[in-house]
Amino acid sequence: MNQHLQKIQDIIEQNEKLSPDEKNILINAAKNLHKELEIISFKLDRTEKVKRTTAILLEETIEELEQKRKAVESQNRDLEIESSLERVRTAAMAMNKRDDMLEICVIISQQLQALGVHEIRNVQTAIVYESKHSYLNFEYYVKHAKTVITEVDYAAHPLQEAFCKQMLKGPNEFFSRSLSGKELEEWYAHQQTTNQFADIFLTSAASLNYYWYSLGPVALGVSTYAALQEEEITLLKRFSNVFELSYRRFLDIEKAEAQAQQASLDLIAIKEAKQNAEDALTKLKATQNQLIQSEKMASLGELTAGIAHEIQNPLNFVNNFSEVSNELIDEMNEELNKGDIEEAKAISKDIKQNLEKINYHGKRADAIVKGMLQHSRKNNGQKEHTDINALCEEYVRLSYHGLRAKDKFFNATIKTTFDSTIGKINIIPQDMGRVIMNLLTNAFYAVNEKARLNAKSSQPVAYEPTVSINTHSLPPRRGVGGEVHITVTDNGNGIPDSIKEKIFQPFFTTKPTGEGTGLGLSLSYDIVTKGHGGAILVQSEPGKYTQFTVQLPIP
Amino acid sequence: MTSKTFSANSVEAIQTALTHIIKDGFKPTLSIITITNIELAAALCSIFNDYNIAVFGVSSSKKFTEQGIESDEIVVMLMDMNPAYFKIVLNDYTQSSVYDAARSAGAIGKKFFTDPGFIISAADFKMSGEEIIEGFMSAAGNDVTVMGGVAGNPADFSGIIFTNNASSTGGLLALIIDKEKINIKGMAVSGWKPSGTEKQITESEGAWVFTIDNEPAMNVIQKYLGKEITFNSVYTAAIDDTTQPSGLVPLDSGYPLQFQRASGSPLIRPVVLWNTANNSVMVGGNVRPTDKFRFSLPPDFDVIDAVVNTTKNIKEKEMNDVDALIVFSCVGRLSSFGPMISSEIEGLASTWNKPMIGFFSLGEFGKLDDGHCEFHGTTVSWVALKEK
Repeated sequence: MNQHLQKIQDIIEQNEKLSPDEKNILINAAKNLHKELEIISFKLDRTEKVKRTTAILLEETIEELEQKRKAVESQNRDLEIESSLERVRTAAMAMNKRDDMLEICVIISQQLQALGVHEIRNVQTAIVYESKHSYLNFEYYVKHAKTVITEVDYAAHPLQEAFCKQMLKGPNEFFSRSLSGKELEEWYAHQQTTNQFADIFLTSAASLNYYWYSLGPVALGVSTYAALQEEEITLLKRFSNVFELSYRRFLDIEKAEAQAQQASLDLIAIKEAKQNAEDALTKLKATQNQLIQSEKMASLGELTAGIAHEIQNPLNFVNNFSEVSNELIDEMNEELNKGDIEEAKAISKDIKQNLEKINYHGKRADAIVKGMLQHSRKNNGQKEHTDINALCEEYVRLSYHGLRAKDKFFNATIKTTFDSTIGKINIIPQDMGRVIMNLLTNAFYAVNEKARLNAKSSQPVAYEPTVSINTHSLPPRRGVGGEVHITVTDNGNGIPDSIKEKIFQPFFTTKPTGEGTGLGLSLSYDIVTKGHGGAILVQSEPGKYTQFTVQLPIP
Repeated sequence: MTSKTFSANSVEAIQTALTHIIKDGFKPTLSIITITNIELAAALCSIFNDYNIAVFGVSSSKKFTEQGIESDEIVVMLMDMNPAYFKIVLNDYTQSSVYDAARSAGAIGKKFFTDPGFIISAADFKMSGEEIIEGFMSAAGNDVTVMGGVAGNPADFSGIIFTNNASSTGGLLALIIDKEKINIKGMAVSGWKPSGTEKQITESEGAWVFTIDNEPAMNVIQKYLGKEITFNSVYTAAIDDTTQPSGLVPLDSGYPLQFQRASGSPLIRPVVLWNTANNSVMVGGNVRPTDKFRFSLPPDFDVIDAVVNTTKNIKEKEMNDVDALIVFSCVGRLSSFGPMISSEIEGLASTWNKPMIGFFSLGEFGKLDDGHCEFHGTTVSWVALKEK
């Protein structure tokens, strides 16, 4: 118990003036007081202890919250800066011409101001060309809201020279300079004498401060009317890191612009080349048409020669028989005058026979002319039922005589073997006639060449130029339709393997210049394959023979 | 159902008192016994066995009844509850898991009663209170009623639980009551106020916390609660600035950690031990890395009124009268409220003016709100029983 209360209790107990009941009341009151004192004391103790703990806890918590606040503030500041840098990055990505570098300067100045950098005079980027002692300056003047591009001769002023030399040392170089008083006046005066922008505000400014960061041959800088704080300079450094992207973009654009210029030049050259090619093609086509025409003319010439020969014979007969008949009529008149009727009748009989012969040969000439007209008739590309054997025979004759007309010494044995079972097949007769004539003309040419070379040879051998033409019918077999084969074989010099693949190519020829167009086999190939759905095959043994087989399907 | 409480300083005195009570015509079937000296458990059981009275016994440093804090060695509550309405189970978990012990007790409850309620105690403060709750839930459902307190002396954490034929220093004691016959109501109240900023457990295993916000746990606690606060001033010898504590040092549980939960009511875990070897701390319950907590400050003294009001609310709305009241009050409250703890005890007892028994526990089981029963620290968890 509390010592004072204990004392009171002792006094009460020793007091004889108090009755026992009074003593009890007083002692109980003292005991209750003791209890309440104990509680109050405990409360005080605990309150004190809790207060201390609370104080520590609150202090630590406040400190922690303060740190968190600072961290959040710093984070927010960082986010603001990052967001500003991002805007510069975005603008850099959006650059599509060199002058957009000015826009970058504008954005950097806006972002620096938004981040609390005041008194900015301008934001500028300088691309330094050491070889020219100059730098290309893209500038944005904040107070004037003016963008300027100038090429500055840096040798013209020591300040600019010092700046450029520092920047040319390489990336991450920092250059700063503060001008005031006379120095500033002199600098302003210098600028007025050059092509540089003369900032009127400099006349009233206390100072002009330059801060530059180098990124190699390019630098980012700001100039201000008041000196920057350390943190602001650090901020500029961060912008310079992002600015590198703009510079890379600038270089890309420069390159792209150069490439675009080159590309437009290339385009002109390409257009010219294309025109030339088109002209050449037109010429080529014209030449080709001419060649095709000359091939046609050549074959027509061969035909004409053959036809002329054909016509000459009946004409000779007609002339001879008509002359003989004329003489016979004179003789017959004499005999009539003599009155020898029997003799006159005998002569008239001869005359009649002659007239029949004249008529026969006249009709023959007529048929030849009609055939020629048919040949020269415009090819309408229509297939007709044609006697392939008769067609072959006609063209054998025409081509042989055509050659004979050109070369009187030409001679060759012609062997024909026609399959009489073929009957008429559906072909374009003029086209197929041209094919046959082409193959025969080549065959005759081949044997003629061999004969000619043999004759010239110092040791000629016995050689009989021979060209044979066969027709052959193949009946339909299981799964395969019927075919008609026309085979032209010569015992000429044959075709070397090296050129066998080329013979069907247009303009390929082994004949001397002027003798062949190189289109004969090519046209024949097209007529057989494309026009008739057939095939044309070649077999040859150099020095021995050549055989062309035209395979025509029978529908 | 009638109940009586009495206390004595010796086994013999208890026997004498018990004899008188029975002679007076009272026929108790169930006893709740709280002792301080664990050596007395066996002798006491022997006496109660003789009278065929079921024993639910625990050890604690301090006990109380409706009369206030009892200084006697042995405090007993007797009830004449119909033996068909209750069972007592003691499951030792020194050889099995805490979870299995609780699950088994839960299963026994479900076997005998359709709707069992569990008043429990456990010895060995290092067991996981959460696992006990989980064990009961797995056997008897999530809404199972589990209330009680952990036995033991906070000075050395030694403790015992006992019943008629068994005792354990590492086990679970459950008084299983048929809720269809006996109405059970209760509530756990804390009053500790969260303070400071949220912290996060970054490394832990079971109840041991190694780092908080990636710093050694004890460094953080000392930083925020001060050096003197971290020493358990009540139960450990005074440690002055020149003495560096070493080994496992008990801490003042008056400044527990409040773990935030989605439901709103925080789980309160007192800081129990400090391992000076690695500056880790053991808290009164399992925690996990990423769990977030705030420090807390002891409640104002008016929280005592708030606790008492919870019984008054139940009295007004649900239980006009009770037959007995059992109270499990966190040992931390004893140091935090000092002599005022008597007001809390007397306040609880005065609501119904019926016999009450209680002890200061090393962890409490009960409901904080409308959720399910959980394991707590710093609370006072009370249970009222009324035969239907």
